[in-house]
Amino acid sequence: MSDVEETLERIKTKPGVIGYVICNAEGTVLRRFPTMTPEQAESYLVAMRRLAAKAGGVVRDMNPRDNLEYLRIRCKKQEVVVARDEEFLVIVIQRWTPAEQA
Amino acid sequence: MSAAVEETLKRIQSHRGVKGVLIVNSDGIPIRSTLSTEVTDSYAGLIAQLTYKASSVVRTLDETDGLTFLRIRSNKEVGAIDHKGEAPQGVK
Repeated sequence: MSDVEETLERIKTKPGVIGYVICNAEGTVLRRFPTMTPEQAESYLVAMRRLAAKAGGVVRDMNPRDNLEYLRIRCKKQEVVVARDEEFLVIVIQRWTPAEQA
Repeated sequence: MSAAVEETLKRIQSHRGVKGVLIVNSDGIPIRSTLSTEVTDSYAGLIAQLTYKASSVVRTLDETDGLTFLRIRSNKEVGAIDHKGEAPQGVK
C-alpha cells in the first residue's frame, strides 16, 4: 500500500497536476486530488470510464490480442491521462505547455 | 493547400516508428492514407467514432474547452489523433 501512496505523492507534487481520481472496477472513487470535490471526481470518473471502455474496444477491434494501456486526451485548457487495468482506473488531470520549437 | 498536406504526411511518415498516417474527415471517411485500403477502412470508422466521443466528453466536462489531441497507447502500438475540428488525422 505504501508504494501506492508514494506514487500518489509523486503524482500530486508534479508541476501542472491539477487533479486525479482513482477508482476500482466497480466505479467507486478510491482516491481523489485533495482540492477536487466529490462531484468533480464523479463527473471525471463517469466520463473517462466510458471513454476508456470505448478506446479499449477500438484497440481490441484492431487487434484482439492487444489491450489499451493508456489514453491521453489533450484539450485546449488541460490534459487528461487515463490508465486502465482490470482492477483500477487512474485519471490524472494536468495543465500542459506546448513543446519548445526545435 | 494539398502540397502542404502531402509534405506534412511525408514528414510524419518518415518519423522513426511511424507505421502509417491516415486523414479522416468529420464523417469518418478516409481522405488520405499511407496504409493499405483494408487497414485504412477498419481504422477510419473506429477512429472517427472515438474522436467524436472524446470530443463530446471534453465538452460535457467543460463547455468552453475542446479536444485538440488524443493519444491511445496499447501494448503493441500507439495511435495519435490530431483533432483540428474538421479532420482527425490518425498516426499509427
